Amino acid sequence: MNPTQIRQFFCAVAALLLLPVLTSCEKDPEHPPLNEPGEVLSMSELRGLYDGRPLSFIEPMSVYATVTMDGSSGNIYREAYVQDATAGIHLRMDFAGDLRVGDSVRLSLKGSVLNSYNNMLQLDSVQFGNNLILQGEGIPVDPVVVEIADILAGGYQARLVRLEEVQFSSTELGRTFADAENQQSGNRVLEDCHGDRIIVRTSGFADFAGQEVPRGNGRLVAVVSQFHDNWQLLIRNPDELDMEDERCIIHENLVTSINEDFQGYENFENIEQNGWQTISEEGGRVWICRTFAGNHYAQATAFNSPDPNNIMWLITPPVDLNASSSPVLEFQSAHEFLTHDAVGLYISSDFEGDPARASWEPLEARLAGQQDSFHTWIDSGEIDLSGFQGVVHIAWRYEGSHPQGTNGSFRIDNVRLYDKDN
Amino acid sequence: MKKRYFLSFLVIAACLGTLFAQTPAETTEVPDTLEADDRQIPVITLSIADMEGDAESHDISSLLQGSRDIYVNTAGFNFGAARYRIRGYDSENTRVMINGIPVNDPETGRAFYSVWGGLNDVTRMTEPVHGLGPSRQAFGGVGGATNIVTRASRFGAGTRTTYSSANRTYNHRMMFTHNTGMQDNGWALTLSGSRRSAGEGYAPGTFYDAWGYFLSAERELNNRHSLGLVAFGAPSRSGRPGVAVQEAYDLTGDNFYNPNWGYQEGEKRNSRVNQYHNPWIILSHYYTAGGQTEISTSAAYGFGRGGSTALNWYDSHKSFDHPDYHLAGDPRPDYYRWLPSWHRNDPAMYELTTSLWQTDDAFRQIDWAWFYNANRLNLFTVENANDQDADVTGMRSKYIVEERRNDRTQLVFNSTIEHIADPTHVLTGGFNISLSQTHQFKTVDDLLGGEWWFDIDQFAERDFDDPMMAQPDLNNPNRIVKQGEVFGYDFTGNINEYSVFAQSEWILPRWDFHVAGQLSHTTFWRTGHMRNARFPENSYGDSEKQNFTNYGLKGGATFKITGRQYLDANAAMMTRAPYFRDAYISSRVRDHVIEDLGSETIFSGDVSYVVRTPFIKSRLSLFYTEFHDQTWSRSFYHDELRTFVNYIMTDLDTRHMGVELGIDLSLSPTLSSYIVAGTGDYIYNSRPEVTIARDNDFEVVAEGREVFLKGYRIGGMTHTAGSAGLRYDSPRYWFVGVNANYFNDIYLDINPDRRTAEALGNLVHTDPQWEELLRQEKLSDAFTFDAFAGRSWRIQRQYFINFNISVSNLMNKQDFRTGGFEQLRYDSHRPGQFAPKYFYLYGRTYFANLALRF
Repeated sequence: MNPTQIRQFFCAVAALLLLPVLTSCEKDPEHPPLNEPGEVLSMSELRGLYDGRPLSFIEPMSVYATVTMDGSSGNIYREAYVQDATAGIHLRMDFAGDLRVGDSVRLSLKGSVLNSYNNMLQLDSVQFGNNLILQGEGIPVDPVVVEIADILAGGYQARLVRLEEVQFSSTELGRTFADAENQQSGNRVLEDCHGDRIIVRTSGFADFAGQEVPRGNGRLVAVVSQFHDNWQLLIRNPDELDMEDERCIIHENLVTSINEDFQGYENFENIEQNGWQTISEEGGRVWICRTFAGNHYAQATAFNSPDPNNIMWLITPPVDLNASSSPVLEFQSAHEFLTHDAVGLYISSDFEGDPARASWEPLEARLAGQQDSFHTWIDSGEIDLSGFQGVVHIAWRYEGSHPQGTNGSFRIDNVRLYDKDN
Repeated sequence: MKKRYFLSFLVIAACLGTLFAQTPAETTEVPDTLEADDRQIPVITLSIADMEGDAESHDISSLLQGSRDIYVNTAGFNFGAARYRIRGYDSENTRVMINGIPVNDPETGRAFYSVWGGLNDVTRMTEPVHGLGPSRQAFGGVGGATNIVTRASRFGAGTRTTYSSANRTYNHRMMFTHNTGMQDNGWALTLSGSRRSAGEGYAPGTFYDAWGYFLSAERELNNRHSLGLVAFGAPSRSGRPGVAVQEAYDLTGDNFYNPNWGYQEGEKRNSRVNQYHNPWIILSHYYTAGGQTEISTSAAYGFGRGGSTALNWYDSHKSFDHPDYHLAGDPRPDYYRWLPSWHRNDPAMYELTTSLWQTDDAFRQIDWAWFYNANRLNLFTVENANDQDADVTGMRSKYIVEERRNDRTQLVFNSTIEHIADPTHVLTGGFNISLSQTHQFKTVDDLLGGEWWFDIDQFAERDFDDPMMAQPDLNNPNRIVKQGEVFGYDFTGNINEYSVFAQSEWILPRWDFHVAGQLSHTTFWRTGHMRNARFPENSYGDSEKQNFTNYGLKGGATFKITGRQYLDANAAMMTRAPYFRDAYISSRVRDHVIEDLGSETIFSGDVSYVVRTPFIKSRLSLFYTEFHDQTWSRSFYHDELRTFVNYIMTDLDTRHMGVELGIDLSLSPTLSSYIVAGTGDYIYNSRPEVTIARDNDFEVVAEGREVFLKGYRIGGMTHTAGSAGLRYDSPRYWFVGVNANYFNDIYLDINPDRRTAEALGNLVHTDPQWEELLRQEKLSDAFTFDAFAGRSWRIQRQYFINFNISVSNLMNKQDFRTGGFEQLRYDSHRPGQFAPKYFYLYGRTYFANLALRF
């Protein structure tokens, strides 16, 4: 071999020897044995597996969900709430891991236990990092907007909800969410403008436990929990309470229409059923039920009253006029021995129990009067209420005096408030 | 794919190189005005174990300094900063000797440059052997062997003074050396001293304060016998640079952010200060008989101190002067809970921590004032203090600086013989006895305003009802310690090694051969000076002795194709005793060795093609090495467990194979060039077992966990590097040159525990954590450029002045990650929580050197 051939030979040998280096470079390293992901369930399918007895998962199964509540505010500890599009569930974990709202996770069910604690369904013995596996972060779930009544009806357990036009009951104002000093949990009553109520439960360890509950009306985001038959809301963070609007008046027995013939009252019974109220402003008399020939009606009178003056109100239940496009009021009235203009018809949107503190606007109506014969039922005619909005009370105000001789009786029957377009 | 191209390039370059070899040789040697070693400014290359763990962090020796081999030289200098390691070997695979005395640290096997740091003038003369070639002083490791010759008679008479200016680890260097040479009276004397200093080095908060002294005296008794004495030392103090997660670098806008320092009364103070001084005294006898036999016999004594300071704390409630902001925890500024990422779901805190990181030195650096205030306010009563009946009340330091010491004492007796039996046959042999003790303990370095430190184990205190369980030393319970006093742990590692080697070389016209063998015996044991409460029966006094007998065999042949081309092949097989550092589960507190402690086995082979002509010197090598049954250990401080956690892997195999190419070309009498390239595939090649133990608990965290490691790259080093350079040497005594370097295949050093079935738990391969935990991050490749120039003058025919300057990383590239590691602490739920830490190549740096010689 001449030197050139030798060189070529060595180049070839070098290239050949390099081959194993080349081929080995691309190899991936080994990895521990693969785990089986198992069947993938939806959250509602998982909840459906509970049959009243604790269920321990032995086989690999998975549920994908998003964290809706973590322990960062201290309101829950070693717990979390997660949900998917179908349902939510409460997790109890072996330690308070670094889990954040908006984390999407895979629940690896193997090793965990599905159980119910006082009617609250929960996944127990969840090992952080082993049963709860982070998939991504920063994609929080939007809460579903519900009313308190929806929660009370069931179906939102462990879900993230948003309530609007709610406020803490007036009896809770000035109180804190919980007893931070003694680290005792607190239950605060939240109500909506219909008067539906639910408990807001806060741990004494929550970092906002010592904060006063907000005084206004507004919106909040919370997770729905249950203890026995009591529904509860868990606040994630007080920043999610936006309750600075003017408080709403709670209208118990709120109605959208009225159809009252007073047949449900006994003779001499005060008119106080189904949200109707009768209030004495002066004197001891109120509107009561009287009967004649099987007809029951409401009556106000100062006849034979020892009081120097009698003023009495008959007030309807709160009526939500927004429910009607053309609300109309109709009723019948009659009188006996009436010698003065005893009765006025009024409407108010701020009546809260004391007629003297409410502002009343008079309504035009055909009322029975001196020109009408005794006992004759006079139709009021259609009183158009479409100029009014929101929740109102309608009132009949009777004023009379026995000593002064203005003591005639006034009667009301067949009160109807309805939507003329319907 | 890149790698494939790169390899093709290697092969083509090698062929080109040999083509050049054909051109007739008509050039002459260019005078070498830039002495190689002045370029060889060691770059601090702390190993990853040093950075994360707590091992001493000297600079590792730049291997085989002063080698004539262009590849080795370039790899040592140009690639060193990028953590390139020749053949992917750790420094324990290269035997480093000074006058034949091995100076590798017996406890870890590593050679530490800092032992002779700054003494460049007198450590320049080396006999390096790269790889498996024959060494006449020792059997050597698979990486080779280097003997630094310090005999006074070998230095030519003269005096040399040098001043250097740089902006790297130090700013100033002064050296003075005087050699008498062998005088008529039979005496030769060499004296050298050096000083290196920096108020602040390249990395913020680092400083450098080092001296060096050297004395070598030789007395020629007659033409056969000489006696020599060498004594040297290099006391040094330096502030450590740090390593951090990318988030910290981004927040501070500085890839050289150093969490180790903080302002104290307006001055930067580093909490991690290394202080070393390990002098050697070597007494030698040299015997020469008729030019055929040489016997060198030495007795050496090495001693001194090694230490590294660190913060320690008890009941830390570090907080920051801000309403609503009170967090307790680790007072170190880069603690993960101080980082904005920890507050990712709390926008207010995220913003606050971000702004503090960006603007507040008291937050992003150490807040020394906080420590002083906390210590002075902490009135505390220790009952039965110091095991006396009396109580002691005082300001108990909550925060201190402690120094972790590793003081070595070593006695070495060594003799080698070299006998030229006939012109074609050389026999060498020798024996070496090394008796060493490493005393490891910690002391209180600074009480930071408090009166004393109460020496109890904080975690044990919380964990056990019995207060005695928290005692580091039952023989002296309830100790209150003051500055300079020993506390925490205190033990000595005794390591004795006896070895013999023999070698035979044949030098024939067409062939050279060599064979060598080594036999050694290693004994080590632990002597505890404290009786730890958690390990009362296994901490005090002498432990059981561990004995290992090991052997090594190697051989090689060189075929001379022509007078200018050689083919060389070598192979070796050896076993090696485990290192003391790796053998114990928690050597600080107990003497339990790991299960199945045994020797490792190494197989290695290489083939080279060498060309040497006056105008081209080239070498192309292929190498293949397997390390079997290694023991790997690492220790890190776990801030929540308040203790050291030790990871020990056994039965770890690695495989190193690759290619090396070096071409040195003389293009014209004034122009020269070189091309150097190396690539390797350095992988873990077995499925080892990991044991995890805490220093303060007898329960091991894990034992015998299988680690699925096979096929992962060995991290912490650059696997592929290339360099090409051009140099012009003017006949008028000046020169200038540039070179370009390329780095690739840099992988993070991995955390083995993440590759266990236990770490993965219920994870399935579609979970993002599966990939996050298992993937090994590969860092980006990079190019860098260097330039250098110099001039020499001769005055009055006897004074020589040399000036040279080199600039590294000319383009000031500051975003090149030269390495990094996965933290040993991890959260399998959110692996990103404990993000990797990265090292960056320093930006543009310079080194200028002015020397006067006469």
